[in-house]
Amino acid sequence: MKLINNIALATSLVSVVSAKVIGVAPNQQDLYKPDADGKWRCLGHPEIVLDFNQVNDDYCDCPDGSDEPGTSACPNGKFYCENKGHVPSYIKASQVNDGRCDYSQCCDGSDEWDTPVDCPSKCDEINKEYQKQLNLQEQTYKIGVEKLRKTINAANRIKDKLEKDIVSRGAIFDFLSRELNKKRQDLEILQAGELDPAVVKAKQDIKTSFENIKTELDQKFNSFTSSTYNLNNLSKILDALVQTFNENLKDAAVKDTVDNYLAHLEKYKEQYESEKSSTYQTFDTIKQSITDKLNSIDLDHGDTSAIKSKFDEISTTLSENLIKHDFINERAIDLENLLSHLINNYNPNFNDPNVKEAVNSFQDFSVNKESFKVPTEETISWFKEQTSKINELAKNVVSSNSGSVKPKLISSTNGPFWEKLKYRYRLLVNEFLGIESKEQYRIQPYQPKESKSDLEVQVEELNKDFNEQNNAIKSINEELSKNYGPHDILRPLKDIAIKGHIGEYDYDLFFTGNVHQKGHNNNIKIGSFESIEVKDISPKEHQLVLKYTNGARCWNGPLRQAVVNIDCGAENELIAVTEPEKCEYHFRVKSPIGCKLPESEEKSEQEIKNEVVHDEL
Amino acid sequence: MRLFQFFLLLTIYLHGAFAVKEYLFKKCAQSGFCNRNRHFASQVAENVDYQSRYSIDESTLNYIESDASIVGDIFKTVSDSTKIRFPFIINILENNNIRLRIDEDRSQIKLENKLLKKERYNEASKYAFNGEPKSSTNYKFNQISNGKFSIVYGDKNQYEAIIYTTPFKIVVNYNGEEQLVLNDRSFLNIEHFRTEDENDVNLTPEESSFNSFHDDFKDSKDDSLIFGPESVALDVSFNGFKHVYGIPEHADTLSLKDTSESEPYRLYNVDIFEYETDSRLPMYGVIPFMVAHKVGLSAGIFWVNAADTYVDIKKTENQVDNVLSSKTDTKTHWISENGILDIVILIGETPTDVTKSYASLTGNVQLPQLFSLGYHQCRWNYNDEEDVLQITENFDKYDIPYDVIWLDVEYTDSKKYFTWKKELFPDPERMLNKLDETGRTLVAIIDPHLKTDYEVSDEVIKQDIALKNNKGEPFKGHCWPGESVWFDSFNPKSQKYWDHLFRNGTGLAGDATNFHIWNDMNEPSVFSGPETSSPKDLITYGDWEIRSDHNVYGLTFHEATYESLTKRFVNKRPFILTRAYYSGSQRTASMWTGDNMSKWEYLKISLPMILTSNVVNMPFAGADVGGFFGNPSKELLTRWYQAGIWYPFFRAHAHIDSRRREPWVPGEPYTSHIRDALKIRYALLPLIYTKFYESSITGSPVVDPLFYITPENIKSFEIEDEFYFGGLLVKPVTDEGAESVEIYIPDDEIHYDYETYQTYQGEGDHHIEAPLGKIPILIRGGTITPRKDRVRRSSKLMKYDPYTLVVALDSKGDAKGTLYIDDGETFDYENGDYLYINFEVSNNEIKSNVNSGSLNASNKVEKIIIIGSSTGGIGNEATVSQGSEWTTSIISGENHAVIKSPGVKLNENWSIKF
Repeated sequence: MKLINNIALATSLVSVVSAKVIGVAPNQQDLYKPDADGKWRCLGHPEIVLDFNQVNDDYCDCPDGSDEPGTSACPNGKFYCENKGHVPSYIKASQVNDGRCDYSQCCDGSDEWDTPVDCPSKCDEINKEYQKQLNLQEQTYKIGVEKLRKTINAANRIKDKLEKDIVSRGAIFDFLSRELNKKRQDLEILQAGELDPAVVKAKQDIKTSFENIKTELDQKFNSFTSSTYNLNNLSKILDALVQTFNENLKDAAVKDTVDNYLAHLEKYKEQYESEKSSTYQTFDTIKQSITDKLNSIDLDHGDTSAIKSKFDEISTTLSENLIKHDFINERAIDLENLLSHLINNYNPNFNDPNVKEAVNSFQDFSVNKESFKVPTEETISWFKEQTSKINELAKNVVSSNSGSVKPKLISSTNGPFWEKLKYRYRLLVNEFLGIESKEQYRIQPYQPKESKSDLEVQVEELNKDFNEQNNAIKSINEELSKNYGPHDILRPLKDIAIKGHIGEYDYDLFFTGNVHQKGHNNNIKIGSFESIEVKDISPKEHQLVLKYTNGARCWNGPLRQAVVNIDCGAENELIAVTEPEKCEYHFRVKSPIGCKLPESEEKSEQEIKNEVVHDEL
Repeated sequence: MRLFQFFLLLTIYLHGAFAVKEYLFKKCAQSGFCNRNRHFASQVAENVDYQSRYSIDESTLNYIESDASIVGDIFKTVSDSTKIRFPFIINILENNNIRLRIDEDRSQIKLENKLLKKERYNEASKYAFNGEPKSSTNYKFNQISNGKFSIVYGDKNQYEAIIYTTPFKIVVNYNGEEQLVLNDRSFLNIEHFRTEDENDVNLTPEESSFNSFHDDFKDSKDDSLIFGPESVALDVSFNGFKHVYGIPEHADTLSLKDTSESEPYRLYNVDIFEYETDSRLPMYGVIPFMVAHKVGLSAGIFWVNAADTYVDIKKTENQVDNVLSSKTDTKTHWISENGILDIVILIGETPTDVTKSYASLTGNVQLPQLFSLGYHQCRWNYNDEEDVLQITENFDKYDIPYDVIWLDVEYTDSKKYFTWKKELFPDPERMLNKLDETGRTLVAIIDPHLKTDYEVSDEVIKQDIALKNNKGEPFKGHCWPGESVWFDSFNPKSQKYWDHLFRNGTGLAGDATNFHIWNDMNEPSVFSGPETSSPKDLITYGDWEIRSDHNVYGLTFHEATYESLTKRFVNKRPFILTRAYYSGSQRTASMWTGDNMSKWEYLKISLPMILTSNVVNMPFAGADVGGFFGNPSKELLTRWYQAGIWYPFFRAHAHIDSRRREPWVPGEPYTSHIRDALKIRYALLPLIYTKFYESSITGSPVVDPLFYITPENIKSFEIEDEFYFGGLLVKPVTDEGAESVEIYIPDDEIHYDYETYQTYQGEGDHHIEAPLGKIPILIRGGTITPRKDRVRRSSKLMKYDPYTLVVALDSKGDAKGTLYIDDGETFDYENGDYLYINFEVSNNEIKSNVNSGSLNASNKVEKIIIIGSSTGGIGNEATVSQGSEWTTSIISGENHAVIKSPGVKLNENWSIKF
């Protein structure tokens, strides 16, 4: 392809029409005409006047590059490729006459008109391939959009169901609220002036203290369990290292770590072995037994010495476990020291994958772990203090009880009376809901005059149901108000995950849940679903941008987070994961939900919804 | 409380930076031969009456007039009854270099070990020298009289070497003045052979026997030390020289430091990861060549020894001639573990002369393929074919030029070199062809350790071309792939197999010619070995302990690769990057400074390191842009690119654990600043290529330290953060947050800002604003810089582009420059297919004369930019003459004028009057 020599100067009146300026689109050719004096002005800078023969003379005169549409002289130039048989396009000036046929943009090879390189047109075959790709894209889009519609339908159905649920729960809620008020008022009347307020208060205090003890003990044992978990994690890291490290790499830090770990195991042999034995009770088991013990204490009517002895038993168990916990912490600290030495001194150049794994695991462990310290002395004295307080209070209650004639009748929550009472309450609610009892026979409605204890049970039950409904309504509202993107597209994808293997890692991406990175025996949370946005690309294409935040903390860095870009695809597919900023991950994903509905359908969203509702009816 | 203390401790641990594992490397005190020689030197220095035990037996002297050499025997008097014979030879070489070799007569010793030669190793020069050195023709012997004899040499008889016989000493004079003295301080020490039983009678009182027969360094306990103590050491004094340079590789200043109170500079090829700056510890490569410079004279010492070596430097100030002025002498002490004593003394009027003189001995840099002077994008690792092509696409997408993509070890199947991990790189040739579409090249890593139990290592063992342990069996150690054997490239037989592995048409790279090689880990790096290298008693081809030839192993390895690639390509220049190197490596390979860190101090130290490399004729040098270990800040990354475009070898690299940092990753404004820097590099490729051509012909540096340009200016002798690249004076910003620099102009020559043409003049510091986007570059008046200003995707795609000549006028209105052109890739230039052009401007006329070559280059000259205050008077038309005469237009601007499209042909002489 040689330049059509452009000598159409103004002085020549004949050949003006046929001369085409190279690199200029047909509809722009008019811009490249000399004026009567044979002059021409830069398109973006009409103040700059050139001789017309300075156009495409391979020297850049116009700051906007407009005088060199056909050469590479201007850095900002554009070269028009006609691409006969395919789609015309522009190519950067820097790709003109560089000795390479840039067929991907210039399939006719016209970009190499001034080099010895021969670029025969490939437009025909490129166009064929292009059409094929277009078809493929179209098909992908078709499949994608079909799936998208289904997802939108599902989203609408779920939303609809939730909305209906709210209506019915609202009615129950109103009913329960009315009943509860009524019963409470009745109860208040009965309660007025019945008991010694001091005893009532003491009972209340006992209850509060008792609950406090329960919660505190629960927390302490949870701490113990977490410390055990820490120790186990550290041991796991070191066990793996000891078994897998490459002894031939003379890395002194690794060797020290391994030797010291083996010494540690020897030193604490007894403890490790006892923990492995079948009779060993975990903190969780012990916690359970303490809870059971606590629950079996009859505060109202048990004798105080029984209460005291039970508290004493618990106290002993507690102090034993505090000591046990101290030992666990001691070992964990020892192991952390070993691993700290390792990460500070190992030789990263040896690149022993097992050492690296230990280092990474420990780094992740140390930035994300919580340390639990439960001071032995303080805890024991706290417990003693609390229990003696209860003991004192219990004495008061017991003494007041002993003077009372109140029967022990209602002390059991399992008697037939209670059953009947509850049954009656159930019927009341069911009646309101219009639910028929499925039971084969009905006990004759039991209609005792409502006693105080009756009412107490009813209030308690009603209150429970009331709270339940209240919470349910709240959470449904919350769910409904969440932004799940256009057409609520993410709503049906709650339990759907995209999984993929990229590089050394496996990734689990739950659309509205968590994103995890797995590999090297680690499972790291990158983030939880936070938001969704739509980025328009063209009238026919958009991209969903999902953000996930609050992941596990990074070594020497922030909490991990992720941005997930979803483009239209026929299937859910993880394409790429990168980490452009420290601990900020970028996911590229293809999914039908990334497809954009044809505009005609966008408008009729309401209609679709109506249809769905109709279907269900 | 304990818990709290622990957390405090943990915090310190967690933030502790990586640092070199010092315990892995021997200090002088832990090294037998270094410890012994330092001890010896201190004993000798303490005794003012000490007389060296070495003297020449005058009766043995033999003057060989025909070969410019003198031979004879030196005797070491151990005791009245024990005298040890050391034959010596002195040669006067061309370029007025003088060489002294002292060997030990071991003919009488009995060595039980049949696996080893009993002689001292004398082959370092075989690998270092570019063929047998030529003898001088300008010399005259003055035979022995009064206990000395001398040689006068040089075309003006300006050199004289005076050799004193008792004790042995050599003084070298230049223009009648004493410049260098060998054995000035009587530190000459050659530990002659003795068995452990006989050690006592062979040890003089001033000697120590520390670790003579056993090595108690932790990782070296297994060293068999068959020969016992056999070190060679010598002191050399440079009279009046305050500054000495060279002897890489160290992460240290350009002007070397006094080491009397610290570690000596150690020369031993080792894999020193996370090396520290300001350190005398050994590194990956060794060039035992030192340059000394003072006003009026430069000198060099080439210590031709390939064994573990330490160099002590002491600077002493002397009052001179009762005048108030003082002079500083630099006294050096060279200590090698074994081998013969082989030293070359080079003296010239300028440091450039000395560097060139050294190059005449060891060979010049190979003219590289043009592509290899472009930008190299590396990372450990680009994961797969898609990754490689995606990176390439991104460069084009962001309009950033680049030439070479690299693959580190992960491309292989289980680190088995010459294989590919098929699931990641299913069709390497397809990938190479795809890269070639836009003129891109692939460099893949091939290391000398070969995983055991696969066809290549099996064959290497079968063919008996593996390094051997001290029992003569193939040595097995650990490296990347786990257990490995090492290719013995000393063995001439190994070349054939290596050629076979690199031949065309295999799965390695098909027939691709855009496939070149990175030779890493060739110190050799042995993870399981002492000091992360080979045990010293391994046996290399020729029955030598690797103790003797360790520092040339890396060179033999990359030379083998070079040889194989020349066969593969038929007529294309191979590109090879090596980490380990030795004198002579410049003939076939480029080097980089190994595993640096993403910290400002490493950016800073890269400049003196690369300047040192240029001083010692290893100019094709670079440092990992961005830093290997860690993650650079965006500012550091940007500044590193701005400095890196001046590295002769310009490659970005990153550790596998660091994040991606290709130029588009930091985003704006950083990406644009990086792109701008890369565009400067690419526009200057004609200058860079011309500098390399000139270096390949003359041995001159590619990047000049300031004192190479102004050798008379004492103030320029220590400057290491600035340099000249051709006519460009550059001071890269290497400080965090810096907004400006003080650039030192070393003389009164006028200088111009590279972009604005603003004038700077006067010896001294000049303030230049340097916000993040600005690289402080000045153009030196009197120079002509050739450029290609059209930025393409890669250097190969600039082939047809026109040149721009930047003429910076000096105060007289004159300027000079050169331009070299060839096809950029073949050896055809050796047959005259090139153009080497001289440009000269004076009296408002630019003349172009083809100096040599006859390439029919079709490239046009697009612009001639003339910079200078006098350009204001230039008219708007220039007259071009080349055969006939025509005119072309001139556009004037601030402090410059541009001659537009002069329409000249480069392969014929032309001139333009303006």
